[in-house]
Amino acid sequence: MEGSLESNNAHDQDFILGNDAIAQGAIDANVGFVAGYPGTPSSEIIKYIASNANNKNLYVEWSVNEMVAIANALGASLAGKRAMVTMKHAGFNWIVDALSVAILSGVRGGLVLITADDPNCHSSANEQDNRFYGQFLRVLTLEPSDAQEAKDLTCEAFALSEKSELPVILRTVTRLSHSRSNVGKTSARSGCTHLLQDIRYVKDAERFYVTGARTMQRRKWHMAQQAVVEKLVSELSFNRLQQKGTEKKLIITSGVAYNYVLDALDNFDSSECAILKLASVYPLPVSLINEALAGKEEILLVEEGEPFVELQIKAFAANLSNRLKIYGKSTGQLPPVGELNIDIAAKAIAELLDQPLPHVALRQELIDKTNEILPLRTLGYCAGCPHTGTMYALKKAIKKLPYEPFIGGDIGCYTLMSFPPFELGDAKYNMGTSIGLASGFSKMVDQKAIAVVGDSTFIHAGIPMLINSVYNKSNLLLVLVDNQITAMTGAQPNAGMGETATGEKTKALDFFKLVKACGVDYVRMVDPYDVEATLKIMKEAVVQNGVAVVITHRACALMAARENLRNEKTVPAYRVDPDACIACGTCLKTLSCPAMGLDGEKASIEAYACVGCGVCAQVCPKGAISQDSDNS
Amino acid sequence: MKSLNIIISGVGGQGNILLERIIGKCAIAAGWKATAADTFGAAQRGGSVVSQIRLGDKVKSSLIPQGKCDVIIGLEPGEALRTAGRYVAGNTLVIVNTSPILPAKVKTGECAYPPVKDILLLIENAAGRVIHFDATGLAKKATGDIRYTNIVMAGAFASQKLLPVDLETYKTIITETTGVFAKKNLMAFDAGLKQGSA
Repeated sequence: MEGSLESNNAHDQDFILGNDAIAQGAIDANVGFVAGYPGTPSSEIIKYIASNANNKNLYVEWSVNEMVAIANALGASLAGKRAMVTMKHAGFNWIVDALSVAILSGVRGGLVLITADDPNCHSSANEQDNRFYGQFLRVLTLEPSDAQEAKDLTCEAFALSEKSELPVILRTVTRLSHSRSNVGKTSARSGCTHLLQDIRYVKDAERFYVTGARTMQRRKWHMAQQAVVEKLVSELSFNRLQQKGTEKKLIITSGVAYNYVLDALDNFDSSECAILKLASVYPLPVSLINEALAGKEEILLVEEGEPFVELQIKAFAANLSNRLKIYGKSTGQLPPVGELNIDIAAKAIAELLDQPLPHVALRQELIDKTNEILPLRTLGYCAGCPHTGTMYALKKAIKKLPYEPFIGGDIGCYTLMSFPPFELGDAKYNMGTSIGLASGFSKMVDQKAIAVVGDSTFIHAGIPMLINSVYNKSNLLLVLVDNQITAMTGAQPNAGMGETATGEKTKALDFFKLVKACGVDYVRMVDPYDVEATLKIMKEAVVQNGVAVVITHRACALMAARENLRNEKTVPAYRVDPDACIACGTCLKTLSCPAMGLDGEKASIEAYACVGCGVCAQVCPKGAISQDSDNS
Repeated sequence: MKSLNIIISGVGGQGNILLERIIGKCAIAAGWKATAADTFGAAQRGGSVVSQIRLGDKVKSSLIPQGKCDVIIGLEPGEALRTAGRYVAGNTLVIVNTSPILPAKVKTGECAYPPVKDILLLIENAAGRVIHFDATGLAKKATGDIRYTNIVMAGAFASQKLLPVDLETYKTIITETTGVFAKKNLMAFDAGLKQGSA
């Protein structure tokens, strides 16, 4: 069990996440402003900064969405401070609108944008390689390969941003953000101590107030600035060419893929193969590429995501006199989707070097046997999760309707409503979309549509959707599941629960008043632990005309448990009276609570796992479940 | 060449990341390089979780190649088996907690959980050596709380002396890493150590 009072050991090496290293690099660079919105695998960066920033001049916030975060960070940069925005790949889509104009002005204080991409969709609804945004926006784009380099490169990124007067993108991926490794405790590069502390703000509307004829002038400035960016890249020592010069073969790699390449090369005689390791993936360091390609015949590109460097190299090689064979994702040597690993890299390298692939027999028989006998673990709600009561009531309420309603899902723990035992939801895409989907559907089909969205996602992107639904007279029910935390990404505070990123108390958004102010007439708030009341309101809400909103209000069970632990408070568990239980299975099949199981034929509750929500006692048709007063 | 590839497999909430951090820090204390890849997201929602740890003098990436795992620490028997097929080699040591955590579909009676002895037999046939015991029960007995199961397994791992650090280093790191809960963690560690040495 892990305590909160952690101390570092005396060695000069930390064993920290790539995300922690990025955060430490920013702290070492004297960043003044950090903002972001939670999104796996990026969320630990702000958490680390909020708890480790030992500096009164460092401000950190969870913004309500990425678009807000970038606007704030641009403001901080205009004030002359170094600023950073963190987000997952999908979050970057939200900042492109602001950035696409801000690049015309450029930045004052260095502005670093951390995009945490998630190849293989460990915790994402799509695979998205945000390095393309670097090319699209024509800004320097960096890709560190391990945690140490993530720390050093993040620190360096602020200086690069100031020298180029443009934002810098630093792209990490899940296997860097969520991998721990040795990181030196000494501050990242000393060249990064530049701190614009006492800068006097100077108005420069010609540059920053982009409108009218200034727009095209700034556009020309941005294009002219590319020469500066290219020069910075040509001097970047993180780009490294490892060769004797006589090799005919070359591997070009970047980011975590570099490590897969190095580990895979242990299996081969690689004396006749050069390696170009790129830290700047846009723009490419032209002279280094020229040097690397000279005299080569075959080139393998190994990179995580799309063939981004590969396509640039192909374009580059098209102008060369010597014919190069270029292999990678666009030619089928590496898989076009999913993430890389040592085995995948080794297979492609074996082909390139024309050497046998060391044979490791996979225990296919054992894998098949395991799949045959071992049931999969599906994701579900935690014991005491307030969504359990909400989904139970929603599922029951819609059964009374003469038709199956359309249900739009959204991003958060409640996304799991699509899995057993609830199996609710027809479509789910991205943040806040549920309400628009329901609204659009209801306009085309004359029946109620439902949207299910959580507190943080509603604040992030749902509010304009709700206003639009009321404004345009849609017919939908919004179930706003307010568990008072951004839970799915690891419990970050949000504007709905009255606490900032650093744990300070602040005003909590009043959802009830907000929804009323949007013009919704039917608004009800209910505690989902009260099954009867929740069911009554759901049944009433699904037959309302126009826009109706039900707010289910109850803190995330994990947060409640943490609070109870802090206050040394115990909540008595529930128990099943085996004499009263008729083994009907209602509790298990309708709730699927992880604290419940079978004891022979009858239901049983594991006391240590039960948090005492009491929802099971309310769904039991025989009253066989009650709170155990002896187990307090 | 020093090198040790370790997989910790279990169910979300069992504390595999804490165990990973303790082992990684011990390796660093021994002057090794350490990398580890975590599973996040499913961590507290009952999903299967796997931590991959690579220790040695020249490790670079954090993902273990197939069939190249030296030690599997199974916090749950089914999860130990689930990782075995892809990663186990003829010389792999597997340390298994024999106390199962039943998947949701087993609890509702839709599927059956295989007998633990069958799981162990499959692992034994594939691996080099298997140490198995009821770590959950041992945690309960030693500390009164099954949440210390992961640290019981840390004790069993330490008993195998695969890292060139003494037991005091493990204990110092556990104390530093677990703060206010250090005392019970050390009790769990000792229980696992004794079991593993038996």
